[in-house]
Amino acid sequence: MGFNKDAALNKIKTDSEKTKQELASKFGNDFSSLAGLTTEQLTQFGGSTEDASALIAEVEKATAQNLSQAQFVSNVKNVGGSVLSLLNTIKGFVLPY
Amino acid sequence: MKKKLILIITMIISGCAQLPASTVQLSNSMSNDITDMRSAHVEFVNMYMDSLENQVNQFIDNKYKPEYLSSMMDKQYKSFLSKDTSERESSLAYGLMLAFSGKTDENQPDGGPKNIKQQAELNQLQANVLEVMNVFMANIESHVESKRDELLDPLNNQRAILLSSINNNYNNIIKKNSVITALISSISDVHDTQQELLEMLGVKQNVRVEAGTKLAKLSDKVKGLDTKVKNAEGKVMSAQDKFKSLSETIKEL
Repeated sequence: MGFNKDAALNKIKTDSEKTKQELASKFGNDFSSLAGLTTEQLTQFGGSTEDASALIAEVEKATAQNLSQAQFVSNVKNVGGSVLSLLNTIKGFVLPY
Repeated sequence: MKKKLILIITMIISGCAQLPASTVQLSNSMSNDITDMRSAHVEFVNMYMDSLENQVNQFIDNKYKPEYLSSMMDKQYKSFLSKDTSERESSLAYGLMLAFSGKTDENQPDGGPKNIKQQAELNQLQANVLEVMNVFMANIESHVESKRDELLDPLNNQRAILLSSINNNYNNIIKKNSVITALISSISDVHDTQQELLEMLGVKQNVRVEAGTKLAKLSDKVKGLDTKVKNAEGKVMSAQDKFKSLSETIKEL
């Protein structure tokens, strides 16, 4: 009469399965209480916001137009500077000395 | 002509609408507030989910693992005590008893192996018992950790879903606010440009603010006048009736 290694290994597997079932029944309530948030709660706590892509595009277009208007004075100044520079260059050609 | 006049008045009124620089600052401040609120919201969710995870770990370490280990050992012990020989021989506890007593069979006399063959058999038994014991311990560890993951995985998914949802929603709010801020800022730039142009034309500084203030005062006065006119309307009607009555009386004469 001696120790049976293969039987002992099988026994561990069988005992393990049996114990899992016993504990699943014993700790059923604990498992439920540790399950965290439901799908409804995830939606509720995550919140929701409206997609306003069309409105955003409209406002962005108006902003771009405003910025173009706002650039008017500096554009005029730039053109003025360029014209002045051009005139000086022409003046240099016409009157080199 | 009338249409042109209305157009000019509309342009003056819209041109005089006041947009102090603090409007852009206020809008930027709102953006910072939203960002802070997002951090607070995310922090709260992480803290809550951490606490749920902590509850799971405590349950596994303090309740589930000891219970699983105890139940597995109890089954080994019951097999060890069994009168069924094959059941008894499958018990790790039985193997441990033989290994520690220096026997390969419980019917052997005490005092350890008597020859080389018995010593070799004992060595083999001890190796087998050690192997089964390792499998036994590995089973405990593996099952307990698998149960821990089984409970923690859904929480990790929930955390990811919640944080993703919160971040997406806050990004949406921040985007909307930034678009409005950019619009306000661009209006402010347009006003600056208009002011610069007016100054180029020799119009004094802050003419928009002055005109706006005057227009606001004028609007209040017009409102007051409207009330007075409405009050007076009744009196005029009454006087008109009296005048008609007098006129009819004169005609009758």
